[in-house]
Amino acid sequence: MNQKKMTFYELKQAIHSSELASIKTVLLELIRLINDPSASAKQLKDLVEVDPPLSSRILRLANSAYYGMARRITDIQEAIIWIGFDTVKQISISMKALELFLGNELDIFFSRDKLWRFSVASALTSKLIYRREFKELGNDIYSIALLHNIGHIMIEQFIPDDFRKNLMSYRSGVKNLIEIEQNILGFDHAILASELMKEWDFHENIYLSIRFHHQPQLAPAHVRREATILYIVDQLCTRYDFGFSDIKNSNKFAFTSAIDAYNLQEIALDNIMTTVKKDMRKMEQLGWF
Amino acid sequence: MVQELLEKNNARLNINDNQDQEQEITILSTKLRQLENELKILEQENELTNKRFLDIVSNLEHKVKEKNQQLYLSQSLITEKNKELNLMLNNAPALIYYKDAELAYIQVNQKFLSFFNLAPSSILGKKNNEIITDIDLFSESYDIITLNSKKPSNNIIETFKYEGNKYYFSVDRIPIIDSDNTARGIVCFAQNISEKISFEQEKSKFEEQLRQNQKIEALGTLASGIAHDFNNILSAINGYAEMAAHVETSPENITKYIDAILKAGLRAKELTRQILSFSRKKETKFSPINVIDIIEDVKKLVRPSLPSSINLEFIKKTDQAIIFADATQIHQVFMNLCTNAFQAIKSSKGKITIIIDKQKLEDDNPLQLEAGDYQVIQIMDDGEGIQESKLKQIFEPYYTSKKCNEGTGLGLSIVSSIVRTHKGEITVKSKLGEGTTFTTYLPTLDSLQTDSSEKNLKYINGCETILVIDDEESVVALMDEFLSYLGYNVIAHSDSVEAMNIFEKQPDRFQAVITDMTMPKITGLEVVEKVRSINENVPIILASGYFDTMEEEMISGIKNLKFIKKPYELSSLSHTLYDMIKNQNVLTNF
Ligand SMILES: Nc1ncnc2c1ncn2[C@@H]1O[C@H](COP(=O)(O)OP(=O)(O)OP(=O)(O)O)[C@@H](O)[C@H]1O
Ligand SMILES: [Mg+2]
Repeated sequence: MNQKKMTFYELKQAIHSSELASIKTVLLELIRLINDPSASAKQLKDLVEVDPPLSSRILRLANSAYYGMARRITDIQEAIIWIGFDTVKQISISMKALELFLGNELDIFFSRDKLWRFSVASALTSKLIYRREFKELGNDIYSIALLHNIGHIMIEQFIPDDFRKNLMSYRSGVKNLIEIEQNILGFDHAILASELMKEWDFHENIYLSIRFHHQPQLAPAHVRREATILYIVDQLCTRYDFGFSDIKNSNKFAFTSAIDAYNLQEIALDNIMTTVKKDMRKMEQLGWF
Repeated sequence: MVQELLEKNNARLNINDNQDQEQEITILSTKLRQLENELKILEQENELTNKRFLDIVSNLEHKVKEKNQQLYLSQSLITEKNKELNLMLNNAPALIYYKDAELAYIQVNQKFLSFFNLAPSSILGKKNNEIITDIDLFSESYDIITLNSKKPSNNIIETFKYEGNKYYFSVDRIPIIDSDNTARGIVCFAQNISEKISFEQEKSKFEEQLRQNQKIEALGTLASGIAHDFNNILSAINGYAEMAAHVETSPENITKYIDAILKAGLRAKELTRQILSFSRKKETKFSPINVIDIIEDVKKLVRPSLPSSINLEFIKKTDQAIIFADATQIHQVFMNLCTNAFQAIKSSKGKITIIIDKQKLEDDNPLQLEAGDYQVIQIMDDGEGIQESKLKQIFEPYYTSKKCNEGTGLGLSIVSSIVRTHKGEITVKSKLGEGTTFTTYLPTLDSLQTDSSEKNLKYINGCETILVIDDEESVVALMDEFLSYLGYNVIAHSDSVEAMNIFEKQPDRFQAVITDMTMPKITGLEVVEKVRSINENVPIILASGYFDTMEEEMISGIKNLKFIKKPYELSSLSHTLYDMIKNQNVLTNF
């Protein structure tokens, strides 16, 4: 294309004034709420209710056959009472994040929808690892994983020609998408997302772990575990083929050393993936994807 | 060899088995460990949830307590309000009931129960026809009207006869309207006005007596007035005759004196004629008359008896001076005033001035006359005048400053009583030694009435038969004449009992009834009641000098009834009558 190439700065500015940025306020609030054990149901209700598309999506899920409610749930308050605060919290943040992924099919190989499916799978996987292996609630990692690939959305939306070119060489080659991005754009989706999230006032733990999810060994110590888990989860979800992945699952050595670093065993991860597969099927039925 | 092989194979199998088993165990233990962890996390979450739940529960408990408190408060408030309401209901000076839309009683007050001698259980939840009482209950038909119209119906008079007593109630019904504009029921307040009514009836009887007395008195006054007038005339005759007989004077003067005597004689003759006609008719005869003509007449009669040194002047500032009056009586008024004026001029020189003018009086004028156009006649003299302290007394009968046999002291009392029966007023202003002015106000007959071109607009003709009842003979006569003039067939009566007999015999004969309010025997209200009980539609016009609010209330609910205030203008009476008959015809034809 004879269009002038956008600088990294110009790209960031364009994103700042776009639809994507408008989603961030509610998203930030939701993340804060989810990670705050003292947050009340009323706070969640108040937050969600001022966002009609979000609350209608939540209510649609709450009324789906899965929760088997005899009565029709007509507001967030009821949803919290009948299907639980934690569940509604998780649904809320996912449904808000989904808004970032709404858009048209680009080609058979990549679509925002496929990327969304991959993001949900990684969020579920990482949360289960935290719970079953680290005995932690895993709420933070759920939201981080949900958002760790939004850099792709930004590139696809604002420099679509470059995105398509990158995608083609990724499909036909052996390199991961991030390496292609660095070669061609001079930056990658992780850096882009991380920079913007930093400017949007996301917590440091979030944007830093996203920044290093392809190179966890370079991550600062306090977010290294999160970055590493994102890295591991990307490998696992690629292996199980949940939607669009930006990596070739080939680097066996790096993977092994990553799981070794946190004492994770393949068997344990396989067991977790069984659960994820089941959950993903359920969610598919619920209409998440 | 075989054995060896088998063993070898077995051993290998064992190894494989062992490896598999180990693998199996690792998987199981991993699962177990993960489950344990999940359980721990769930426990944690559970704890959080529990805590939150407890928070909610304790919060709820608090809220329930608060709500209970509020509930208790509002309940005691309701009890309190109920008490107040019952207190008000039971002490209100009225019978009160509350019915639902089916007209079943929901609540009644104590006064209601005791008046009808009922127990609550024998009335609540029931309709009128399901209740056994000695006295009829309040009319359901007005309940229905109130419910259907969704508008209050006020001051409906309902009457009951019970053990020889007649009870009057003034009944107000108010619909209870829901927010969706359906009438849910009615509340009714019935006020016992029987005492008020009987008091009112007593009062009107008393007033009637008083009026009879006054009539007799007036008759006496009139008789003495006539005698007094004769005296005036006789003194003129005697005076002139004396002068003609004893004073040496020129023949021309003697002719003048004899002329005056003849004139006085004619006046006496006229007076006699009037006395006769009065005794025959026993009533004053009102007709439109011109005051100027009367005064001219008086002037002609007085002038000859005045010394030429006394100047008598008549100034007419208006020439429209038609009043509705009895000519003889008005003549008497000015005769008297002029005689007094002349008598007040003690010296040989003097001046009497009569001025006639028009004046419009507004409401609340100091004379307390009805607003309207008046003829104002001033009679001024420059005589001796009246002491201020005596000003009030001069109108009293028998007050006189004149020597015995010279004055009766009745002149001004007759004057003022005549002026008043003509709805007028007389005032006096005087300064001792300077002179006196008497000012007479008489209501002008509406100028239109003498204007024949507009006569048709003024009165509306009719041909129906009208029953007129008024105890005042003069009114009866006037109405008879007036309505006949308009073309109506008039049956007029001064006796209300008689009139009612006629109506009862031929109720369909009359297309309208005009009745006075205050009458002896049968009062106007009773006439209305009686007429209505026979014919519920015939138009009724009720005339009264004044209506107190209670009377107005009593008749306000009755249809086809209008009241007009006395004195009414004949024109407005003719309009009202015409309109009511026309409306009634439209209704019956429809
Ligand atoms: N124009 C007047 N000037 C002064 N005094 C008057 C005048 N008119 C009446 N009065 C006083 O009022 C009194 C009452 O008058 P009124 O006409 O009633 O009786 P009278 O004139 O005394 O007697 P009568 O009319 O029988 O001759 C008179 O006696 C006189 O004192
Ligand atoms: Mg006199």
